[in-house]
Amino acid sequence: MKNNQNIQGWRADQIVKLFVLNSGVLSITENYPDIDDRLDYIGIYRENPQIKFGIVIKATKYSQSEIDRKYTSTQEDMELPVIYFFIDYDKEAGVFRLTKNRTYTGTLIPMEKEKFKFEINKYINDYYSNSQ
Amino acid sequence: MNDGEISELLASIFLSRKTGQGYLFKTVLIGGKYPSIDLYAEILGDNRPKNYCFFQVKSTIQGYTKRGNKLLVQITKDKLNRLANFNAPTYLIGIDYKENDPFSSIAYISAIRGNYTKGLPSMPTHHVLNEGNLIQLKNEIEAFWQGTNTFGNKNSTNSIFDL
Repeated sequence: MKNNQNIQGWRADQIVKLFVLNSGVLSITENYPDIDDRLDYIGIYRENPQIKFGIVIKATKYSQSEIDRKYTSTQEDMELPVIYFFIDYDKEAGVFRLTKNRTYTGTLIPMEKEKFKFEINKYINDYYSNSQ
Repeated sequence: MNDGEISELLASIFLSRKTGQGYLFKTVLIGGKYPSIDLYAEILGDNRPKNYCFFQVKSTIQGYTKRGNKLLVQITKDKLNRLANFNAPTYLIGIDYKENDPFSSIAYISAIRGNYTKGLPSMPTHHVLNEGNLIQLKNEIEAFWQGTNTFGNKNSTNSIFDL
């Protein structure tokens, strides 16, 4: 757990875990066989546990535009699609974005339950329609 | 959805909120691994040995009683007595859970001490788990471990968070 070393990172972790579980769309685990150590958690799609996402959590006080400027590169060789969360650990709020084919998709999205559910479901629908 | 884990995470986030004295608590989620105790919390800082306490967490989306404005969470007599039997500060956290925005939920705290002859059908809402009460909670737990407020004594309920 990269983030667990200080209280701010630890709080960011707790906030994301709560947010993801509360969405109802993914379950979350850190005890997954052969988990890539650059990931904080694995998110498992509840409707089909074969579908998994990597989760990376950044504790930050940057604004959305600063995050957009600062975090421009993804991990190049990550096998799973990755959800990046950028968390203001004091405001208990943040933004997220997904990678697709190892590049970011679209802009940063506010951490809201319905938006998160929509983006995850859309991602999966797009993935399956493209693979057929 | 694992409702228990969500409640524990929410209580953990509330306890670790920043106060005028900084961040005061860090927690470990215990729920499911040990009866009665959902959270272990220790006070942050350089203090050795660590001052700690235990929490039972209950949440509801049902809101409050019409009479008395009590939170609609229940806890059995047996569970209360098991909590009260620890020789450590133990508390109940009740959460008015807001499903669409859990971070806007409201949490309440009560000390669990003494000998209970019946369970709680609902929880008093005198003590909101806010910044001021986080500081009071830290002071109370430190006083307990320093022996200056033995509210843990079963014959005494000298907690500011009494039910």
